[in-house]
Amino acid sequence: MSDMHDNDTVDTARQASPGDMLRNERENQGLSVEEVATSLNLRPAVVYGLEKDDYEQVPVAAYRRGYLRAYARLLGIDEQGVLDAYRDINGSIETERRVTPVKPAKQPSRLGAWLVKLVTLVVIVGLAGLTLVWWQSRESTGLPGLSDNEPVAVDTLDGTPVTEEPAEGDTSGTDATGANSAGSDTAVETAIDEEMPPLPAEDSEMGLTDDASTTDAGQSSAATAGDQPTGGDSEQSDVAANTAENAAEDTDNAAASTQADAAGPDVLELSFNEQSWTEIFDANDDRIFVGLQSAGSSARAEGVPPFRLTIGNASGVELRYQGKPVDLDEYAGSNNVARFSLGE
Amino acid sequence: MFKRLRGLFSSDLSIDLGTANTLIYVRGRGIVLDEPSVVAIRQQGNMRTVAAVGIDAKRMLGRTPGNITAIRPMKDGVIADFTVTEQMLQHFIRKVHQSTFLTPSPRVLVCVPCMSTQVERRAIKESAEGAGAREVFLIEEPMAAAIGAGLPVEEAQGSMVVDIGGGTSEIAIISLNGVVYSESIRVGGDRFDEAITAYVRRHYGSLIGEATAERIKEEIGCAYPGGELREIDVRGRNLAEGIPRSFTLNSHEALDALQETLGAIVTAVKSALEQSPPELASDIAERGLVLTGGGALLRDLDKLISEETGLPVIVAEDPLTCVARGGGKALEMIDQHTFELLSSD
Repeated sequence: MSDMHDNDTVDTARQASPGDMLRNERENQGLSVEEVATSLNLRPAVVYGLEKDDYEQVPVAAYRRGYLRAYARLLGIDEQGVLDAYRDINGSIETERRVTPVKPAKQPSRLGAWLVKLVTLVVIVGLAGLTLVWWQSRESTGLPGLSDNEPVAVDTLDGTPVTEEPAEGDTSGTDATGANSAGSDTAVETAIDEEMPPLPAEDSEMGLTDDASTTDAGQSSAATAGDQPTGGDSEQSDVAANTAENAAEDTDNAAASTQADAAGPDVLELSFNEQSWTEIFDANDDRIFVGLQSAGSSARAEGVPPFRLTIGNASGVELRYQGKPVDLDEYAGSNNVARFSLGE
Repeated sequence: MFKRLRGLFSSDLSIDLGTANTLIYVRGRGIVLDEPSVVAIRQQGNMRTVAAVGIDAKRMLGRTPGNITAIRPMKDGVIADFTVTEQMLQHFIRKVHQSTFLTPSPRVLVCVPCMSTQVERRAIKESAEGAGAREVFLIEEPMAAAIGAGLPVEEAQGSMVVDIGGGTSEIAIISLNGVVYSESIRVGGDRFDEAITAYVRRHYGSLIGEATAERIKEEIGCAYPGGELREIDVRGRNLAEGIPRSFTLNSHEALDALQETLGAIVTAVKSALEQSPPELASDIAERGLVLTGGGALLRDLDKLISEETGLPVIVAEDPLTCVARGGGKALEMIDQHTFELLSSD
């Protein structure tokens, strides 16, 4: 029997259909289809179907293969051979995902993993830091500079808004300082620059406006000497106004600071008798003026005091600050370069 | 959110967290891990560290010195030791992800016995989450087994599957992606081993270990008389003399030893058939039932059940991996929103 079986498989294994293999073997063993059906608990029609490779009776592939294997096992032939033959015929239709063999992954090295994690963390932190630094530098340069020539709107206490234009051209910035003594109800208005017509200055809750001419000379000179208007220093304004000592406490600070703000940026005028290299920074650290100036030229710079100035060849330069000449010689060092601050 | 990021570097896994073996199926790669569910714990003072997991730990079973204990954290298909299970899962999940760049955080589908309680399911779910899973789905074992065996579970036809695992045997009748009837008995491969150990002690007066009993079952165990006679030489400690002795067992004795346990399985199958609705019973009578799980590898078990029930019985191809493969297919269906396959926790 086994001889026959061997010959059969050798001869027909490749070309035989699974049904042929099973039928040949069954006939060799002298079994009937009914006997096989009984032992497998299948209907004879199913067994006939298996032998004829007609699987109409068994629509589900999983059961088909199961029956073929059970049948092969019953006959004692190689079930894998039968299944292979079946697969050769039908395999492509119902290919299932083949199970890949077990492949044990290699144990991850703990040290390596930690190192990788650490390096990754450091890189990420570094990148985040760089981004932060870049962002901040961008923010600081991107700040809109205080433009010096914009009109400044002032709301006065009597309700009429007044717009002050910063002075243009040769005229230096003006400064109107009003201080009001609540007790005396007097308004003092000082014009610093004699060449300038006095700008209207509004103050006092009473809406009174007095001309500069109403102030006496002493007041005027006092204001000229001590006033730093954009500093918004109301104490100095009070002094300039020369009001009574006790009244200084009652000074309307709001009005005074409004006036001080309205004064706008200060102006530096430079005239070069000789060639000079000059650089000026204002309080915001903005470089408001820089360059090599040729002899005979003049220049003008505006900004927010205090200014830091560096003036080369200082003896050949004349500087006017708020219309007043500044003596550069006292700042100039041995190399004739003046480095100093103004307007502090 | 970080879990989601890590999820990009992880593949979806289907885990058959069995009492005896844990299998992991990875989408697109097939079964990548098949290791015993054994963890060896080393005790150093108050510190408990994992000494080995899987095959290495199984080799230690019954051979450990005082400071190492080899534990099987699953018992009867459910978690017996929560923390150890979590560590074992963590180890396995790491092992199937070759990349060590990020700790993997995959979506995981875990198979649970169909008769397990809410508490047991929650324990498995939390254990998988603790092991780093991003999302955990549960599926009932017989459903996964049926899908893995290639049964037409989505059709309006009854399919019966008997999944004999290490700790439990699951019997279910499935139709239209749902379990119509299910039964879970706490009889499985482990009980076979115990039966063999008890038989050897009774008849040879010798003690054998778990591993030896398992070897006897695999080599000469059979479920139906009439097959060829096989023999095996085993060594065990003789209880009377106290010294190791060698003796020979044959397959008839093994059959004798397993008789009672096999009877329990057959009874459960018959009871399932009794309980099934008549239409489904007729489908099953026509097509038969399918055996999966490691127990299906027991020689002539299909013949025994076929003889006892009068139904055609087929053994699924590659029965050990059926559940994991079926889980993998179910995982693919999750993306197609076929959620009815999944069990609620």
